[in-house]
Amino acid sequence: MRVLAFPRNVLLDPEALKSYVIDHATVYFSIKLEYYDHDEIETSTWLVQPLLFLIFYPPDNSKYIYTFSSEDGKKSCGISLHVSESPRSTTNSIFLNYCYNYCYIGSNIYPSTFYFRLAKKWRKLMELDKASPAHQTFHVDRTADLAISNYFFFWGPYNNHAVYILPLSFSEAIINEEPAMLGKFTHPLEFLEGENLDPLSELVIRRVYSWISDLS
Amino acid sequence: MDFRSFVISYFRYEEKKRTKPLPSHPQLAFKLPRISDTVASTCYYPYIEFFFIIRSGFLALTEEALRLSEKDFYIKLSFPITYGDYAAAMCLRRKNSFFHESDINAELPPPDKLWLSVPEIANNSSDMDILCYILNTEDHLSSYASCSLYFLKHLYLRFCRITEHPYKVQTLMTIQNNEIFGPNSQYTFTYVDKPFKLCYVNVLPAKLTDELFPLDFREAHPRYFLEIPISGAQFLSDDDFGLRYCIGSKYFTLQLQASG
Repeated sequence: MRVLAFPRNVLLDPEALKSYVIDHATVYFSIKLEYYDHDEIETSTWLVQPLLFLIFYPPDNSKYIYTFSSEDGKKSCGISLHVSESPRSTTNSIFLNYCYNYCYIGSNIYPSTFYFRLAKKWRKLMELDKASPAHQTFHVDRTADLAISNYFFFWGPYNNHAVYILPLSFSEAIINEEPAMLGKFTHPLEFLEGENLDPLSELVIRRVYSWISDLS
Repeated sequence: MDFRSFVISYFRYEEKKRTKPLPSHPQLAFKLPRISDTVASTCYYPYIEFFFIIRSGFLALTEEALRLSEKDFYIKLSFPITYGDYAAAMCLRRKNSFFHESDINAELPPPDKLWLSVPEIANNSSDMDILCYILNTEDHLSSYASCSLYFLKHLYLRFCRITEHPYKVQTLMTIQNNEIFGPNSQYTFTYVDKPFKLCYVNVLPAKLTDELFPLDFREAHPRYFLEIPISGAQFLSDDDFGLRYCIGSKYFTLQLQASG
Protein backbone atom coordinates (compact mmCIF):
# COMPACT_ATOMS: atom_id res chain seq x y z
CA MET A 1 0.00 0.00 0.00
CA ARG A 2 1.26 3.47 -0.87
CA VAL A 3 0.54 6.12 1.73
CA LEU A 4 0.86 9.87 2.05
CA ALA A 5 3.90 11.16 3.93
CA PHE A 6 5.57 14.52 4.44
CA PRO A 7 9.18 15.36 5.22
CA ARG A 8 9.27 15.91 8.99
CA ASN A 9 10.31 19.55 8.77
CA VAL A 10 7.18 20.33 6.71
CA LEU A 11 5.13 19.56 9.84
CA LEU A 12 7.35 21.53 12.22
CA ASP A 13 8.84 24.50 10.38
CA PRO A 14 6.57 27.15 8.82
CA GLU A 15 9.14 28.06 6.16
CA ALA A 16 9.52 24.42 5.14
CA LEU A 17 5.74 24.09 4.82
CA LYS A 18 5.49 27.19 2.64
CA SER A 19 8.26 25.93 0.39
CA TYR A 20 6.54 22.57 0.15
CA VAL A 21 3.25 24.14 -0.90
CA ILE A 22 4.90 26.33 -3.50
CA ASP A 23 6.85 23.39 -4.90
CA HIS A 24 3.79 21.13 -5.05
CA ALA A 25 1.02 23.52 -6.04
CA THR A 26 -0.88 22.74 -9.21
CA VAL A 27 -3.70 24.53 -11.01
CA TYR A 28 -7.02 25.11 -9.24
CA PHE A 29 -5.36 25.35 -5.82
CA SER A 30 -4.77 21.65 -5.42
CA ILE A 31 -1.57 20.02 -4.24
CA LYS A 32 0.32 17.20 -5.85
CA LEU A 33 1.28 15.13 -2.86
CA GLU A 34 3.84 12.38 -2.58
CA TYR A 35 3.00 8.80 -1.67
CA TYR A 36 5.39 6.08 -0.56
CA ASP A 37 5.35 2.36 0.01
CA HIS A 38 4.14 1.95 3.58
CA ASP A 39 6.51 -0.84 4.55
CA GLU A 40 9.51 1.07 3.21
CA ILE A 41 8.88 4.21 5.23
CA GLU A 42 7.49 2.69 8.42
CA THR A 43 10.88 3.01 10.15
CA SER A 44 11.83 6.29 8.53
CA THR A 45 12.64 9.16 10.87
CA TRP A 46 12.63 11.67 8.01
CA LEU A 47 9.17 10.98 6.60
CA VAL A 48 6.04 11.42 8.70
CA GLN A 49 2.77 9.73 7.76
CA PRO A 50 -0.53 11.48 8.50
CA LEU A 51 -2.79 9.12 10.43
CA LEU A 52 -6.51 9.89 10.75
CA PHE A 53 -8.05 8.69 13.96
CA LEU A 54 -11.84 8.48 13.76
CA ILE A 55 -13.81 8.69 17.01
CA PHE A 56 -17.52 7.92 17.00
CA TYR A 57 -20.04 9.75 19.15
CA PRO A 58 -23.75 9.11 19.68
CA PRO A 59 -26.25 11.00 17.48
CA ASP A 60 -26.82 13.59 20.21
CA ASN A 61 -23.09 14.41 20.22
CA SER A 62 -22.77 13.78 23.94
CA LYS A 63 -19.34 13.23 25.42
CA TYR A 64 -19.55 9.44 25.39
CA ILE A 65 -17.42 7.53 22.92
CA TYR A 66 -18.00 4.31 21.04
CA THR A 67 -15.67 1.53 22.21
CA PHE A 68 -14.93 -1.91 20.83
CA SER A 69 -12.18 -4.52 20.72
CA SER A 70 -9.53 -3.97 18.08
CA GLU A 71 -7.90 -6.73 16.02
CA ASP A 72 -5.34 -7.57 18.70
CA GLY A 73 -8.02 -7.83 21.41
CA LYS A 74 -7.23 -4.49 23.00
CA LYS A 75 -9.94 -2.05 23.95
CA SER A 76 -10.17 0.68 21.35
CA CYS A 77 -12.15 3.88 20.93
CA GLY A 78 -11.64 4.49 17.24
CA ILE A 79 -10.10 3.61 13.93
CA SER A 80 -6.78 4.80 12.56
CA LEU A 81 -6.41 5.23 8.82
CA HIS A 82 -3.50 6.15 6.58
CA VAL A 83 -4.14 8.39 3.60
CA SER A 84 -3.85 6.25 0.49
CA GLU A 85 -2.96 7.09 -3.07
CA SER A 86 -5.91 5.33 -4.62
CA PRO A 87 -9.63 5.91 -4.07
CA ARG A 88 -10.13 2.14 -4.40
CA SER A 89 -7.78 1.21 -1.58
CA THR A 90 -9.73 -0.42 1.23
CA THR A 91 -7.14 -1.58 3.75
CA ASN A 92 -6.72 0.69 6.78
CA SER A 93 -6.70 3.73 4.59
CA ILE A 94 -8.73 6.58 3.23
CA PHE A 95 -8.41 8.57 0.03
CA LEU A 96 -8.50 12.37 0.28
CA ASN A 97 -8.17 15.17 -2.23
CA TYR A 98 -6.13 17.97 -0.72
CA CYS A 99 -6.35 21.60 -1.70
CA TYR A 100 -5.08 24.82 -0.22
CA ASN A 101 -6.49 28.19 0.56
CA TYR A 102 -4.67 30.76 -1.53
CA CYS A 103 -5.06 33.39 1.19
CA TYR A 104 -3.20 31.25 3.69
CA ILE A 105 -0.69 29.62 1.45
CA GLY A 106 1.54 27.36 3.40
CA SER A 107 -0.60 27.23 6.49
CA ASN A 108 -3.87 25.75 5.45
CA ILE A 109 -3.73 22.66 3.28
CA TYR A 110 -6.84 20.62 3.88
CA PRO A 111 -8.91 17.93 2.18
CA SER A 112 -12.11 18.92 0.44
CA THR A 113 -15.46 17.58 1.70
CA PHE A 114 -15.63 13.83 1.42
CA TYR A 115 -17.76 10.77 2.03
CA PHE A 116 -16.45 7.40 3.01
CA ARG A 117 -17.61 3.97 4.00
CA LEU A 118 -15.75 1.86 6.53
CA ALA A 119 -13.93 -1.17 5.23
CA LYS A 120 -15.59 -4.54 5.92
CA LYS A 121 -12.97 -5.44 8.52
CA TRP A 122 -13.85 -2.38 10.60
CA ARG A 123 -17.58 -2.83 10.15
CA LYS A 124 -17.25 -6.30 11.66
CA LEU A 125 -15.04 -5.17 14.54
CA MET A 126 -17.46 -2.39 15.38
CA GLU A 127 -20.43 -4.70 14.85
CA LEU A 128 -21.76 -2.39 12.20
CA ASP A 129 -21.91 -5.07 9.56
CA LYS A 130 -25.60 -5.75 10.07
CA ALA A 131 -26.67 -2.18 9.42
CA SER A 132 -27.67 -1.27 5.89
CA PRO A 133 -24.82 0.09 3.71
CA ALA A 134 -26.41 3.50 3.34
CA HIS A 135 -26.14 4.02 7.07
CA GLN A 136 -22.49 3.01 7.18
CA THR A 137 -21.46 5.93 5.01
CA PHE A 138 -20.07 9.01 6.72
CA HIS A 139 -20.08 12.52 5.39
CA VAL A 140 -17.28 14.74 6.63
CA ASP A 141 -17.54 18.45 6.12
CA ARG A 142 -15.36 19.70 8.97
CA THR A 143 -12.33 19.24 6.81
CA ALA A 144 -10.53 22.18 8.40
CA ASP A 145 -9.88 19.73 11.26
CA LEU A 146 -7.69 17.89 8.80
CA ALA A 147 -5.61 20.85 7.65
CA ILE A 148 -2.11 19.48 7.71
CA SER A 149 -0.98 21.84 10.47
CA ASN A 150 -3.78 20.62 12.75
CA TYR A 151 -2.32 17.32 13.93
CA PHE A 152 -2.69 16.50 17.64
CA PHE A 153 0.53 14.63 18.32
CA PHE A 154 3.31 12.53 16.84
CA TRP A 155 3.12 8.84 17.47
CA GLY A 156 4.93 5.56 16.90
CA PRO A 157 8.33 4.15 17.81
CA TYR A 158 9.96 6.69 15.51
CA ASN A 159 7.41 9.45 16.12
CA ASN A 160 6.80 9.22 12.40
CA HIS A 161 3.00 9.37 12.38
CA ALA A 162 1.18 12.69 12.77
CA VAL A 163 -2.21 11.89 14.32
CA TYR A 164 -5.26 13.88 13.22
CA ILE A 165 -8.42 13.29 15.22
CA LEU A 166 -11.73 13.35 13.41
CA PRO A 167 -14.91 13.17 15.52
CA LEU A 168 -17.89 11.59 13.78
CA SER A 169 -21.44 11.01 14.96
CA PHE A 170 -23.48 7.92 14.28
CA SER A 171 -26.76 8.72 12.63
CA GLU A 172 -30.06 8.12 14.39
CA ALA A 173 -30.84 5.62 11.64
CA ILE A 174 -27.89 3.39 12.37
CA ILE A 175 -28.68 3.36 16.09
CA ASN A 176 -32.29 2.50 15.35
CA GLU A 177 -31.16 -0.43 13.22
CA GLU A 178 -28.64 -1.61 15.82
CA PRO A 179 -29.92 -0.57 19.27
CA ALA A 180 -27.31 -2.80 20.95
CA MET A 181 -24.74 -0.23 19.90
CA LEU A 182 -25.99 2.10 22.60
CA GLY A 183 -24.45 -0.14 25.24
CA LYS A 184 -21.00 0.38 23.76
CA PHE A 185 -20.78 4.08 24.44
CA THR A 186 -18.42 4.77 27.35
CA HIS A 187 -17.39 7.83 29.30
CA PRO A 188 -13.77 8.75 28.47
CA LEU A 189 -12.63 8.37 32.09
CA GLU A 190 -14.16 4.92 32.36
CA PHE A 191 -12.32 4.03 29.20
CA LEU A 192 -9.01 5.33 30.60
CA GLU A 193 -9.45 3.45 33.86
CA GLY A 194 -10.04 0.20 31.99
CA GLU A 195 -7.40 -2.41 31.24
CA ASN A 196 -5.74 -3.67 28.07
CA LEU A 197 -6.15 -0.39 26.20
CA ASP A 198 -5.01 0.18 22.67
CA PRO A 199 -2.06 2.60 23.16
CA LEU A 200 -3.11 4.98 20.39
CA SER A 201 -6.69 5.11 21.66
CA GLU A 202 -5.39 5.96 25.12
CA LEU A 203 -3.27 8.82 23.78
CA VAL A 204 -6.22 10.17 21.80
CA ILE A 205 -8.64 10.10 24.74
CA ARG A 206 -6.20 11.70 27.17
CA ARG A 207 -6.00 14.65 24.80
CA VAL A 208 -9.55 15.03 23.47
CA TYR A 209 -11.50 14.49 26.69
CA SER A 210 -12.51 17.97 27.82
CA TRP A 211 -12.55 17.46 31.59
CA ILE A 212 -12.96 21.17 32.12
CA SER A 213 -16.41 21.11 30.54
CA ASP A 214 -17.40 18.25 32.86
CA LEU A 215 -16.59 20.48 35.82
CA SER A 216 -18.44 23.55 34.66
CA MET B 1 -25.15 18.60 41.92
CA ASP B 2 -23.34 21.66 40.59
CA PHE B 3 -19.68 22.36 41.03
CA ARG B 4 -20.17 24.70 43.96
CA SER B 5 -22.20 22.37 46.11
CA PHE B 6 -19.96 19.55 44.98
CA VAL B 7 -16.83 21.28 46.22
CA ILE B 8 -18.43 22.09 49.55
CA SER B 9 -19.65 18.57 50.11
CA TYR B 10 -16.42 17.04 48.94
CA PHE B 11 -14.38 19.35 51.11
CA ARG B 12 -16.46 18.44 54.16
CA TYR B 13 -16.30 14.79 53.26
CA GLU B 14 -12.53 14.95 53.13
CA GLU B 15 -12.47 16.66 56.49
CA LYS B 16 -14.62 14.02 58.08
CA LYS B 17 -12.74 11.00 56.84
CA ARG B 18 -9.31 12.22 57.85
CA THR B 19 -7.73 10.45 60.78
CA LYS B 20 -4.41 12.25 60.62
CA PRO B 21 -3.96 15.94 61.40
CA LEU B 22 -5.22 18.12 58.56
CA PRO B 23 -2.49 19.64 56.38
CA SER B 24 -3.10 23.35 56.10
CA HIS B 25 -4.05 23.18 52.41
CA PRO B 26 -4.73 19.81 50.83
CA GLN B 27 -4.67 19.52 47.07
CA LEU B 28 -7.82 20.37 45.20
CA ALA B 29 -9.57 17.24 43.95
CA PHE B 30 -12.62 16.35 41.90
CA LYS B 31 -14.76 13.34 41.28
CA LEU B 32 -15.91 13.71 37.73
CA PRO B 33 -19.32 12.48 36.57
CA ARG B 34 -19.27 9.18 34.75
CA ILE B 35 -21.65 6.99 32.84
CA SER B 36 -21.86 4.19 35.39
CA ASP B 37 -22.45 4.50 39.11
CA THR B 38 -21.22 0.98 39.67
CA VAL B 39 -17.61 1.94 38.97
CA ALA B 40 -15.81 3.23 42.04
CA SER B 41 -15.27 6.93 41.58
CA THR B 42 -11.67 8.09 41.54
CA CYS B 43 -10.38 11.47 42.66
CA TYR B 44 -8.66 13.56 39.99
CA TYR B 45 -6.25 16.35 40.82
CA PRO B 46 -5.96 19.54 38.74
CA TYR B 47 -2.57 20.94 37.68
CA ILE B 48 -1.46 24.11 35.92
CA GLU B 49 1.38 23.69 33.42
CA PHE B 50 3.54 26.04 31.34
CA PHE B 51 5.65 25.69 28.21
CA PHE B 52 7.83 28.45 26.75
CA ILE B 53 8.21 28.34 22.98
CA ILE B 54 11.15 29.92 21.16
CA ARG B 55 11.85 30.18 17.40
CA SER B 56 13.74 26.90 17.25
CA GLY B 57 11.93 24.84 19.87
CA PHE B 58 11.40 25.21 23.62
CA LEU B 59 13.06 27.26 26.32
CA ALA B 60 13.77 25.27 29.48
CA LEU B 61 14.75 26.93 32.75
CA THR B 62 17.55 25.30 34.71
CA GLU B 63 17.61 24.27 38.34
CA GLU B 64 20.08 27.07 38.95
CA ALA B 65 17.43 29.56 37.80
CA LEU B 66 14.56 28.17 39.89
CA ARG B 67 16.04 26.10 42.76
CA LEU B 68 13.04 23.81 43.02
CA SER B 69 15.19 20.72 43.71
CA GLU B 70 13.22 18.53 41.36
CA LYS B 71 15.10 18.29 38.06
CA ASP B 72 18.24 19.56 36.31
CA PHE B 73 16.10 21.58 33.91
CA TYR B 74 12.41 22.29 33.41
CA ILE B 75 11.02 22.20 29.87
CA LYS B 76 7.58 21.98 31.50
CA LEU B 77 6.63 23.74 34.72
CA SER B 78 3.86 21.87 36.51
CA PHE B 79 2.02 23.04 39.64
CA PRO B 80 -0.60 21.11 41.62
CA ILE B 81 -3.48 23.36 42.70
CA THR B 82 -4.02 23.20 46.44
CA TYR B 83 -7.10 24.62 48.10
CA GLY B 84 -4.88 27.41 49.39
CA ASP B 85 -3.57 28.23 45.91
CA TYR B 86 -7.07 28.17 44.48
CA ALA B 87 -8.39 30.48 47.17
CA ALA B 88 -5.37 32.80 46.87
CA ALA B 89 -5.78 33.00 43.07
CA MET B 90 -9.49 33.79 43.44
CA CYS B 91 -8.65 36.43 45.99
CA LEU B 92 -6.21 38.12 43.59
CA ARG B 93 -8.80 37.91 40.82
CA ARG B 94 -11.44 39.64 42.93
CA LYS B 95 -9.05 42.45 43.64
CA ASN B 96 -7.81 42.36 40.02
CA SER B 97 -4.40 42.51 41.57
CA PHE B 98 -2.11 39.86 40.16
CA PHE B 99 0.96 41.89 39.24
CA HIS B 100 2.71 44.84 40.91
CA GLU B 101 6.16 46.36 40.55
CA SER B 102 6.55 46.08 44.31
CA ASP B 103 6.10 42.27 44.23
CA ILE B 104 9.81 41.94 43.56
CA ASN B 105 10.60 43.32 47.01
CA ALA B 106 8.28 40.99 48.93
CA GLU B 107 9.57 37.89 50.65
CA LEU B 108 9.49 34.80 48.44
CA PRO B 109 7.03 32.21 49.79
CA PRO B 110 8.13 28.55 49.88
CA PRO B 111 7.34 26.85 46.52
CA ASP B 112 4.83 24.53 48.19
CA LYS B 113 3.09 27.33 50.14
CA LEU B 114 2.72 30.08 47.58
CA TRP B 115 -0.63 31.10 49.06
CA LEU B 116 1.22 32.53 52.06
CA SER B 117 1.92 35.57 49.86
CA VAL B 118 -1.77 36.55 49.93
CA PRO B 119 -2.50 38.01 53.38
CA GLU B 120 -6.25 37.33 53.24
CA ILE B 121 -5.54 33.63 52.85
CA ALA B 122 -2.38 33.38 54.95
CA ASN B 123 -4.09 35.03 57.91
CA ASN B 124 -7.15 32.81 57.67
CA SER B 125 -5.49 29.58 56.58
CA SER B 126 -7.15 27.55 59.31
CA ASP B 127 -10.61 28.98 58.70
CA MET B 128 -12.23 26.40 56.45
CA ASP B 129 -15.48 28.32 56.23
CA ILE B 130 -13.73 31.24 54.57
CA LEU B 131 -11.92 28.92 52.19
CA CYS B 132 -15.13 27.12 51.32
CA TYR B 133 -16.88 30.42 50.77
CA ILE B 134 -14.18 31.57 48.35
CA LEU B 135 -14.06 28.22 46.60
CA ASN B 136 -17.76 28.15 46.00
CA THR B 137 -18.52 31.66 44.92
CA GLU B 138 -16.24 31.79 41.90
CA ASP B 139 -16.83 31.00 38.27
CA HIS B 140 -15.20 27.64 37.82
CA LEU B 141 -14.40 27.66 34.12
CA SER B 142 -12.34 30.84 34.14
CA SER B 143 -10.75 30.03 37.49
CA TYR B 144 -8.03 28.07 35.71
CA ALA B 145 -6.95 31.21 33.89
CA SER B 146 -6.65 32.96 37.26
CA CYS B 147 -4.71 30.04 38.73
CA SER B 148 -2.43 30.22 35.69
CA LEU B 149 -1.74 33.93 36.24
CA TYR B 150 -1.12 33.24 39.91
CA PHE B 151 1.41 30.47 39.23
CA LEU B 152 3.13 32.40 36.42
CA LYS B 153 3.52 35.34 38.78
CA HIS B 154 5.25 33.19 41.40
CA LEU B 155 7.32 31.32 38.86
CA TYR B 156 8.54 34.53 37.26
CA LEU B 157 9.11 36.28 40.59
CA ARG B 158 11.21 33.36 41.74
CA PHE B 159 13.22 33.42 38.54
CA CYS B 160 13.76 37.20 38.75
CA ARG B 161 14.80 37.11 42.40
CA ILE B 162 17.29 34.30 41.88
CA THR B 163 18.79 35.58 38.63
CA GLU B 164 18.42 39.33 39.32
CA HIS B 165 16.53 39.73 36.08
CA PRO B 166 14.13 42.74 35.94
CA TYR B 167 10.52 41.84 36.85
CA LYS B 168 8.60 42.63 33.64
CA VAL B 169 5.21 43.63 34.99
CA GLN B 170 4.07 45.07 31.66
CA THR B 171 4.54 41.75 29.88
CA LEU B 172 2.64 39.95 32.61
CA MET B 173 -0.15 42.52 32.35
CA THR B 174 -0.26 41.96 28.58
CA ILE B 175 -0.78 38.24 29.22
CA GLN B 176 -3.57 39.01 31.68
CA ASN B 177 -5.30 41.69 29.59
CA ASN B 178 -5.28 39.63 26.40
CA GLU B 179 -6.66 36.58 28.21
CA ILE B 180 -3.78 34.47 26.92
CA PHE B 181 -4.57 31.86 29.58
CA GLY B 182 -8.36 31.81 29.04
CA PRO B 183 -10.10 28.46 28.53
CA ASN B 184 -10.94 29.35 24.92
CA SER B 185 -7.56 30.81 24.12
CA GLN B 186 -5.45 29.36 21.32
CA TYR B 187 -2.57 29.26 23.82
CA THR B 188 -4.17 26.77 26.20
CA PHE B 189 -5.27 23.15 26.08
CA THR B 190 -6.20 20.41 28.51
CA TYR B 191 -5.35 16.75 28.86
CA VAL B 192 -5.54 13.91 31.38
CA ASP B 193 -2.16 12.75 32.67
CA LYS B 194 -1.18 9.71 34.71
CA PRO B 195 -1.94 9.14 37.51
CA PHE B 196 -5.30 10.91 37.76
CA LYS B 197 -4.03 14.37 36.85
CA LEU B 198 -6.22 16.94 35.09
CA CYS B 199 -3.79 19.28 33.35
CA TYR B 200 -4.54 22.81 32.15
CA VAL B 201 -1.65 23.82 29.91
CA ASN B 202 -0.53 27.33 28.99
CA VAL B 203 1.81 27.70 26.03
CA LEU B 204 3.73 30.97 25.81
CA PRO B 205 4.46 31.85 22.17
CA ALA B 206 7.98 32.88 21.14
CA LYS B 207 7.18 36.59 21.24
CA LEU B 208 6.08 36.49 24.89
CA THR B 209 8.89 34.11 25.87
CA ASP B 210 11.38 36.57 24.39
CA GLU B 211 9.80 39.41 26.36
CA LEU B 212 9.88 37.52 29.67
CA PHE B 213 13.34 36.06 29.06
CA PRO B 214 15.08 38.43 26.59
CA LEU B 215 17.63 37.03 24.18
CA ASP B 216 20.45 39.26 25.41
CA PHE B 217 19.87 38.08 28.99
CA ARG B 218 19.82 34.45 27.83
CA GLU B 219 23.09 34.93 26.00
CA ALA B 220 24.69 36.69 28.95
CA HIS B 221 23.51 34.06 31.47
CA PRO B 222 23.48 30.69 29.70
CA ARG B 223 23.56 28.78 33.00
CA TYR B 224 19.93 29.70 33.64
CA PHE B 225 18.55 28.42 30.35
CA LEU B 226 18.52 25.43 28.09
CA GLU B 227 17.29 25.98 24.54
CA ILE B 228 15.89 22.66 23.39
CA PRO B 229 15.52 22.27 19.62
CA ILE B 230 12.29 20.74 18.40
CA SER B 231 14.10 17.50 17.52
CA GLY B 232 15.30 17.21 21.12
CA ALA B 233 11.86 18.06 22.45
CA GLN B 234 10.39 15.25 20.34
CA PHE B 235 12.86 12.86 21.91
CA LEU B 236 11.88 14.01 25.42
CA SER B 237 8.17 13.81 24.61
CA ASP B 238 8.18 10.00 24.59
CA ASP B 239 7.90 10.12 28.39
CA ASP B 240 5.77 13.22 28.76
CA PHE B 241 2.15 13.43 27.60
CA GLY B 242 2.06 17.20 28.06
CA LEU B 243 5.11 17.83 25.91
CA ARG B 244 3.88 15.39 23.26
CA TYR B 245 0.51 17.18 23.02
CA CYS B 246 2.13 20.61 23.14
CA ILE B 247 4.39 19.80 20.18
CA GLY B 248 1.42 18.43 18.27
CA SER B 249 -1.43 20.73 19.17
CA LYS B 250 0.26 24.07 19.72
CA TYR B 251 3.89 24.32 18.71
CA PHE B 252 3.45 24.29 14.94
CA THR B 253 0.25 26.34 14.80
CA LEU B 254 1.74 29.06 17.00
CA GLN B 255 4.93 29.11 14.96
CA LEU B 256 2.87 29.33 11.77
CA GLN B 257 0.91 32.20 13.21
CA ALA B 258 4.09 34.01 14.26
CA SER B 259 5.57 33.58 10.79
CA GLY B 260 2.56 35.36 9.27
